[in-house]
Amino acid sequence: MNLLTDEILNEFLDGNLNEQKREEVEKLLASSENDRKRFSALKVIHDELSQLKEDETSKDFTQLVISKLGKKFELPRHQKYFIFIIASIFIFICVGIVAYVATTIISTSSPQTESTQVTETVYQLSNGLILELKQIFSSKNLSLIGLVLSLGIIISGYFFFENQKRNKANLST
Amino acid sequence: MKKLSDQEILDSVISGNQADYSIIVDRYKNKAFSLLKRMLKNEQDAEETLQDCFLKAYNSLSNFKGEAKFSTWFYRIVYNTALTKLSSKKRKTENEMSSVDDHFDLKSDYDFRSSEKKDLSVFINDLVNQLPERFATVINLYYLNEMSCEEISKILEISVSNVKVILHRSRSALKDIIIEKNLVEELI
Repeated sequence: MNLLTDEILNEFLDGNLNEQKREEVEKLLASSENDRKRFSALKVIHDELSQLKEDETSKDFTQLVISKLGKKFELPRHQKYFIFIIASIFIFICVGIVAYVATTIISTSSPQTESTQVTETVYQLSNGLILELKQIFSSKNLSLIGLVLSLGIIISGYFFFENQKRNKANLST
Repeated sequence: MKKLSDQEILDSVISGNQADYSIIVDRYKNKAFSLLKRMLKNEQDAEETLQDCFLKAYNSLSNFKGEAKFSTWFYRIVYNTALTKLSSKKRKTENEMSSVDDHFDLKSDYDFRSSEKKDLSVFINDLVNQLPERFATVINLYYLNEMSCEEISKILEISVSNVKVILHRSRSALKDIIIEKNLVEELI
């Protein structure tokens, strides 16, 4: 039976054996030509592997990675702009509705001269606001508002996904 | 000029100097490419996967706490991305990949004796390229990246003793080829 297994030879090569074990291996190597040959072959392999050379990527590899990083960051930025524009349009519509209601109420309310009538005025204004809102969101107008909002959502959704698709295509090139 | 450490470069990248990431890319691209080429056995796949790895690493920089070396963290990304690529190509399943008992036969068409230059490195390189993914990875990280068995065990997420088993088995398989081809006397 061969006492010098590949495992022991590998450990000996890596210097992982204690002194006693190392001396035993050295004796066994000195007494067997076959084991010496095996160890020499292992040493040659170890030395050659230590000199393995790196493979080289294409010359423009680094530039390609950095440009892809740039594109990757443009993607959320474009999305942010898009969402910002859509949100602005909706806010603008809402502000417009509120402004319209406010001006209608103010123009229809009678001018107040006595400061003691402030409470009554607020009460009247809030009543007017409720009436105006009721009018705007009446069954007839409500369907129109719903239609406009749905159209807005569909159109913005379409552009949003188109935008994403384009950015993904840019990234993969 | 003082060579900046990985951590110094990463601090600069995190603070907004995106272009400094190119130093990291330049520092690791060739070694990681060699590893991927040996794992995926295809140059084009290796380069595409490496690009993904650098993008992944960049996007996950906030997760890198500096507890391990950047190289260990980065090569774990490289190794796992390569495994995903391999499993998506149905070349190997995860279970097959996790075994250290892979059996392999190494053959070389390279005629060492008839070669004018008798370039042993070409011969060895050819044999290393034939090793199963996990074995080639260990050889690559140990010799080319000069990593310790402990570092390799963290990357491959296996025990240190398993790393040693893989390393020894790979070397022994290469040694057997040298003996089989009666090249020992010639090479010493």
